Amino acid sequence: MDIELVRMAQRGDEEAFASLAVAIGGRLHAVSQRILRDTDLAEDATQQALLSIWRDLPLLHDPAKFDAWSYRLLVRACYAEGRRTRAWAPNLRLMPASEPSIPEGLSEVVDRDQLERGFRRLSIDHRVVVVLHHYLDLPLEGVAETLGVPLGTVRSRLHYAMRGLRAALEADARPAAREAAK
Amino acid sequence: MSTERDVTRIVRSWLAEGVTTLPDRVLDDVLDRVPATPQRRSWWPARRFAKMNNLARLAIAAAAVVVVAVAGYNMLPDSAGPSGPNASPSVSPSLVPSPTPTSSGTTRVHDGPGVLEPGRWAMDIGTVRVFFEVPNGWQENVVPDVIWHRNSDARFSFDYVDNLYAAPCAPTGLKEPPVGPTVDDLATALTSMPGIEATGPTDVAMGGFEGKLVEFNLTDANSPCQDGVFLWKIASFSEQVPLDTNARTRVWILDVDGSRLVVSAVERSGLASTVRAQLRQILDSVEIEP
Repeated sequence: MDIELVRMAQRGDEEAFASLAVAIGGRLHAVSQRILRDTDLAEDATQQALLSIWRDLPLLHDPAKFDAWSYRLLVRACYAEGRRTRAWAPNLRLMPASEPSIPEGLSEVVDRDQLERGFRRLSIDHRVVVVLHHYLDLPLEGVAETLGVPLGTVRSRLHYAMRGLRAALEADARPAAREAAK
Repeated sequence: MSTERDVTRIVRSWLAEGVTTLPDRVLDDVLDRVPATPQRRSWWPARRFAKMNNLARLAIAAAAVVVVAVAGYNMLPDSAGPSGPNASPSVSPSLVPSPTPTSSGTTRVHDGPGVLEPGRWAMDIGTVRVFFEVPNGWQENVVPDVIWHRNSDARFSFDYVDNLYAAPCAPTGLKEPPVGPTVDDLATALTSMPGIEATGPTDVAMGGFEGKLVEFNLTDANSPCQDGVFLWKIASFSEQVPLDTNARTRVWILDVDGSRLVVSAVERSGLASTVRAQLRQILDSVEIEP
């Protein structure tokens, strides 16, 4: 990120902020879309996050931490959207991890559907960790810093989220495999 | 059996699909709204937390005295003259800042989570303002009104609890009829959650208000629920938050002039004694202003 651009926007330079918004808007939207799994909600969350970034920029003490800070505001906006709409089942429900494996060669399309269903069953806490780590490639320490939670919490959430996704994949694969075996 | 690596690869591949650009209309709408959206400055009053240490309070009080003195001096009739008997400006007590930290009356202004600098903080919980002193290393994360120790799961929080889940292992429905409105009603209901061992309620006081303390010492062994024990829904948060296992969770239920404020503190087993001491000091420092 162009730190000078951040500093100028901090001082109230609207053109600098516009350049900043153009630079980060796509990335923020990609993240919110992946967390919320809903285009309208994601657009609202991204829009709110960008306005929060503009509003609170002067409070950011270290412009070098702009990226993590902006993701934090985005996550907060995603929570707000979720609160407004209650679009997801709020609780992580784990399925047994010792279920049959995913059959080899299972269609990627089937995987996508299974993942979509499994992901929607995750709480937003767990979704956020999955997206920040596996989509943005943030190291777990970076995820912890972004969210402001202990590293152990991030590890735990990621573990349970991936376990949930794996269980969803495998559980949904069973009837599909049976169908395929007929 | 699929390997962890298989699942990670599939999840990463799946996440890589999808939109990566923000529609122009969304960006345009944001930029249209920027001129009408004032930026917060460090002195911006609408902070959710209002931090003000004693030195700052004294400085502001002194500044207010000076401002009032100058204003009073300038408002004196010319006939009095600068050396006249009325030259001493009168200070209106109402203009001197209260020693109480000030913040916006807005209770739910979201200015984002962040680290709390050491010192005294104010936090608005509904109609109640709570003050507390934090040492270094505490912060608010994405869960509103929950303050965490940065390097552990130790935390404390403030909340209003109207009702409890009927079944703590299956938090889909609330108790029917709902828990009654008094401190005793909630304390009794908490100690009689099915399958959950609780200690108390015992009489306590915090921040100048009386109430009841209920304590849970949930472990992996004595927890009746596979996926977590859920007692209540945090009012300001969309997610359900389970009780920590292998942890001591204390719940103070306070009657703050008719409002039932719930203060929770969580200490995991093995928590460093220094952090435990910090949490105790924070809780000891709590003051409540109805």
